[in-house]
Amino acid sequence: MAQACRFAAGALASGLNPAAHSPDLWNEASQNPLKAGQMRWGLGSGGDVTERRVSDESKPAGRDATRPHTRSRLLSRSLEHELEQTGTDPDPRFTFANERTFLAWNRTALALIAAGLAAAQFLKFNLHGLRLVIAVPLIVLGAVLAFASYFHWEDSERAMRLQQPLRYSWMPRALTGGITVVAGCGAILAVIDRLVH
Amino acid sequence: MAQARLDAGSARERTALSWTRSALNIAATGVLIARFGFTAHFDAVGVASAGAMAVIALVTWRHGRSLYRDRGIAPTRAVPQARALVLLTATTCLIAIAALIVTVAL
Repeated sequence: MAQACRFAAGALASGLNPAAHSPDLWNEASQNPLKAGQMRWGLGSGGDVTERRVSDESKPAGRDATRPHTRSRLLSRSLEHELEQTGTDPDPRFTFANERTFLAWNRTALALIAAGLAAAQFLKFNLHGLRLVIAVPLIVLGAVLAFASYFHWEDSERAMRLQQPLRYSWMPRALTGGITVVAGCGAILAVIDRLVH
Repeated sequence: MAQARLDAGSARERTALSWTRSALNIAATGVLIARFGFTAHFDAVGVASAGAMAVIALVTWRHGRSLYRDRGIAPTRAVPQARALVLLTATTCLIAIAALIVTVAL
């Protein structure tokens, strides 16, 4: 698992930085802070890098120790500051990519909600309540994905700032499983509805 | 170096376009909820959520534009948008609740 995460992180980094085609990039980064700063900071000036690295010495090392529960402070400004104070600024391209991934998940969630609404409106079963079996799970899946995508974004952002490997997300599996189950149920319900009436 | 600066500029542009798509998506879902709310004779929920979502879509779009402007042509650092993303998540969950109400009422 750890190997897989490292590979994913390496793939992400190597896609953006031609000098970093090794999957062990993040390993190297954790062993050699200055080199890591240079590698991960393709855009900054050298002086900027050293200046920022100095304050990095005091950062705690453990993953769990550095990822506090922030759920109770979600709407306060302190969350944003806390995230900004964590670790060092990654290459802005990584932050942008993470933000776009969140937005894409958010749109996927909205699309699921819209699909649920459309199913409720346009599916005509003889038994009127049956359309809810299709519509409600789609809308609930959309809400769950929207909720989870924020925490995945925050987790990835923190990992990037602390130069730790990115964690895999369970969301693609949930999306695939959810859509498959709903489609299967739809097909079965359509047949049963026709047979019964 | 020039390549990296160009990359960062393009990434910033892609991100701004992504914000615009999100705003459009919210607006479209708002229209859908209002339309189906009327069908279900649930006008209050439909009108209220459509109005709210029009405002939210506008705010999202403007936030994307202001981020695009603030981040500059070749950004060297990017502030994580924790608060904006929390608000967007909360909005999506509220939209899901409105959608559930309309669905059950249909």
